[in-house]
Amino acid sequence: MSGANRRRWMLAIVVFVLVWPLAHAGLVARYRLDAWEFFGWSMYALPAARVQVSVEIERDGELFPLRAMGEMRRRVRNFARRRTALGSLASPAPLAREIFAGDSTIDAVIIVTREIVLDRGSTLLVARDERHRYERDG
Amino acid sequence: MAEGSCGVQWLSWAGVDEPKAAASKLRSIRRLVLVTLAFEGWFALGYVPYSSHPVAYELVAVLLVGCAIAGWRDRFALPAAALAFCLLLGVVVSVFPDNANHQYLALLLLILLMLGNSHGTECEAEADRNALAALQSMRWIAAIGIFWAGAMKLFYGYWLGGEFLAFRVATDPGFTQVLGFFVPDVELSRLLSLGTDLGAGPFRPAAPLLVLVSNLTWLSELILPLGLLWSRTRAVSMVAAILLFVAIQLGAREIFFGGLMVGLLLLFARRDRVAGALPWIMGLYLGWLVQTDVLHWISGGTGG
Repeated sequence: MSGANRRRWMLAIVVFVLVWPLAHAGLVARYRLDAWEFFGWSMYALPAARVQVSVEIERDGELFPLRAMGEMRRRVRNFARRRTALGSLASPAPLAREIFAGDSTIDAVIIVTREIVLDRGSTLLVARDERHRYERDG
Repeated sequence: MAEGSCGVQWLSWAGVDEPKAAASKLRSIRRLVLVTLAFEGWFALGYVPYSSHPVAYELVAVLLVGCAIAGWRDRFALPAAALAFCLLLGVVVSVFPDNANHQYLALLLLILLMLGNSHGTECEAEADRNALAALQSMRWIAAIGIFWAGAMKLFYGYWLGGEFLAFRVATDPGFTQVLGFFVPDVELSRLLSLGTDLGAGPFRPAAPLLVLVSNLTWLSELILPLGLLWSRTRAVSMVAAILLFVAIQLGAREIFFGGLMVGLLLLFARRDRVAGALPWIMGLYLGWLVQTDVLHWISGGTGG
């Protein structure tokens, strides 16, 4: 690579560092990504994201909490970690499919994601809950 | 810049070094980046998801130590930086999205080190220009990063009333230790009693000094990068920025990010100050590793 091209690549890196935080802020606003992640220079600008996940299953019209053990528990935790970092870009659908695959008696899976945020107005810790319901196919 | 591209000339706003000084600084920052990655490779082993595949990441850590040793010498600078880049990229992809921000920073620095590597180039003037442009790019990254850190504090709005610092003082012993001094005893007791359960708060502090510190922080982060770009204020801005960074890291304890950023800021000095700081930073890394008991974890192999 010629010297001039090398220096153009260097400039491109600097420009990337300059403009990426704008895109990062847009992604945080749009998809609720954790602002602390992905090199947006937003660490310590606000409290880090915190997402809790709970799962309910439905059998014959009745709801039960999922008692995840072993591998399934690890998967629920992994999803919570991914959801914390990636916000709504981390879909709960794959987790629901895994739960269906593990138990043929389940008719529906309800995954509740609870994001705990520091409300700017009241400065209290408040919850933003999202409920995702998945029916067994066929 | 000989090519007359206004974009590349723009890099020189971050200062111009004599070729000898530029070569020395580039060598020192290369050593710092590779040493940081070598230490961090071991530190990461104690954490999920690294601890889920300990053998693979231990191998990466060993190879990163090899890169740091080989990359100490100019002769092996390029292969060491290239291998470290490949290893780090592999780590970043394999643990995504559980990445540390300094890993992204290190990836960019390694690319700049490879692009600015002048060892063995036939045209000396061209090699000098590449080395200088690499240094200038790194200085820009430091200045831009600090500016955005301040801008984001303003944008998200948790620093104007000191809410973020109050939250951290209440929930993070590191911050309590460093910033507790700025909070009256009664208010400190109240904050420490709030907890982190749903409904906890309010985290608006009745502590004027803490609010002042909060606002001075983002203001400094917005102003200091401008001072770094102006030659007359460069030295004092560099010292102030390093002090600000060290003060923040006393609470935040992002030791590897802090090490890299202090190294980048020292590049604004007229002489190579990174070389002098390197043993201190390495000592700090070593102390951090020992304090966090990672070495015990490796020998015990219990997983984390």
